[in-house]
Amino acid sequence: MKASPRPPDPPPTPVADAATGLPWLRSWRAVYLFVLGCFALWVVLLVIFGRLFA
Amino acid sequence: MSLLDYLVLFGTLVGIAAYGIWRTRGAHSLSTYFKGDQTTRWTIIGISVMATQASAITFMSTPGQGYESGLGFIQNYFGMPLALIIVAAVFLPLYRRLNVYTAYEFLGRRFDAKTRLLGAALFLLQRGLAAGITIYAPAIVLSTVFGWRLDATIVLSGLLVIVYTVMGGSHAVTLTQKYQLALIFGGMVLAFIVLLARLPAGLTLTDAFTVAGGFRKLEAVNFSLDVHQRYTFWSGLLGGLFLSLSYFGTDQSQVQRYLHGASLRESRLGLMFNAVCKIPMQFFILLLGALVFVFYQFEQPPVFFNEVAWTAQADRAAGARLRALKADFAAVHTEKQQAIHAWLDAQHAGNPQAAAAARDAAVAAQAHSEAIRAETKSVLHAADPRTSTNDSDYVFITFVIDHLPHGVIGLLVAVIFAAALSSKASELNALGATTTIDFYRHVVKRDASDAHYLAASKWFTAFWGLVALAFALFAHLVENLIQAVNILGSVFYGVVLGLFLVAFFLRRVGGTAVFWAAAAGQILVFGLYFALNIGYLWYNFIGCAACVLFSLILQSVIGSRGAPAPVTASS
Repeated sequence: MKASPRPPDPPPTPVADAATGLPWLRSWRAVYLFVLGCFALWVVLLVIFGRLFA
Repeated sequence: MSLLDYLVLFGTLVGIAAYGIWRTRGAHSLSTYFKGDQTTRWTIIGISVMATQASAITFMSTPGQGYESGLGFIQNYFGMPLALIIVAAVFLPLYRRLNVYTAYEFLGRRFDAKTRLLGAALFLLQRGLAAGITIYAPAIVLSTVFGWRLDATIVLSGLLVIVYTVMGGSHAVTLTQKYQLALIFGGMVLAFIVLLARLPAGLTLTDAFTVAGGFRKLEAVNFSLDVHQRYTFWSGLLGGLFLSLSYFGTDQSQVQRYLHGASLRESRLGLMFNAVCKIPMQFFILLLGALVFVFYQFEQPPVFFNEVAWTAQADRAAGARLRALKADFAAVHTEKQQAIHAWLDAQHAGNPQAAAAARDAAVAAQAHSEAIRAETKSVLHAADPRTSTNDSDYVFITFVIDHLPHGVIGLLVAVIFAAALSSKASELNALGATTTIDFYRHVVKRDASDAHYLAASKWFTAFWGLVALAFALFAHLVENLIQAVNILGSVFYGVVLGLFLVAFFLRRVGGTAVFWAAAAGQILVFGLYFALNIGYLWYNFIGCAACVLFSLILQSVIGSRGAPAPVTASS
């Protein structure tokens, strides 16, 4: 039996771009939330540091 | 500086530049010259973006800010994480999808040729002048302190960066920035360690923080809604967001750095690296300044940190008054030192009332010291109006020269030059790219070979390097030059950001509407600048808001005649 013609390849999807490649932050939304969380953490730590030695 | 310092200084700077040239030797294409080989990983992108932003002034002025005003300056960076998220999520995917060399190419694709040229011209005008300051600002401080010839300092450091930027292109800029930033961080950490070691015996780090906190140097966050206060959480969040969005999203010297990435992922992670690390980095540099302040509570500081300017006037008519003020300053310092010792002793003994009383005495003595410093500045300015009364740029370098060992001094002067070279290299590369891609290839010569454009790029990069050198050499003729360039930047930045915000978020606005809106917005900003007396940072907001608002109005008047062209990767 003859093999049916192979369908054309789909356009390449930018897999490397879609994935963050980070073990715990698999989506970009998670990366952005992590960055905002770090910012909030820095602000809290700065406030505590300032009050500790005020 | 000793021979060892000079060996360290020249060895590190020339060594890094030579390595950049050697690694990028051989044939280039226009693409690799301006975008590297696009295999760069996110760590290097992050370092390159950080090194471009951190100029020499960052490492001379920021510790001075920490010394004078404490950690509050850090709030200026509070808008940066959100701005970088917006750039990574909105700006960057489009730049990469369209495979552009410059940010202004995107304006051409989204709107039309005239809008692209307007954006590129505004960038060249502003950044071309600022490139001169990048070299001039550290050169004027270092030549004053070390007695070097100003013109020789400018020419030598300027030629070094021109040579490796022209020869190696963007790849050489990125490569050298990696080692320059390593040098910068290594030098600053070493300065921090030596500073801690030079604090008086028996003074713990907690004691040092107690002293800094008692003088209100550790108040980093101020939630006040008072608009007259210079640094607050809210002004940093809103103003910082605005400025960072302009700088990282539309300034070609930054856009070119992150377009190097091997993929969208690498570029995005490089930006996120900066979004996370910038605030702790600035905290560290400001804390270094606050600890230099603590150090000078136990060691007699100069009454005016630009000691060359003070000495020049001490032998003239104002000399008697200056020497009297210096003697008063020394007496108050001794009184303050005793109060601080009493304060710490009471603290260690667990006597809060005595500690509070001694701290109040120390704070009062500090206020007296500041009053004497202010009077000294007035006397110096009256004796020679050209003398700048702002000596905060001289605080850190004075500490380095007077109190650090030889070898480390050379290393820290190399840090300042490395920072100047790394940001200037990015600026020259971006100026060369914009001139070649947006003007020469687009307007002057459209169908030449890749080799022709590559050669033209090198000539344009060298041309901008020489323009910056010439501007730096004659910069002393312009009074308040740094402020003048900052004003120039603020006057143009807002409209450029407005162009990009309309491009990204107002899809129904076309090229004709946004072009005339930008022109009208720029005229409005010029008019307001001469008519009003408001802080120049406001012009960033006014220019942007005017451009966006006028675009909407004009588009509604023009209607479909100015309809936008679709943005596609092949257009």
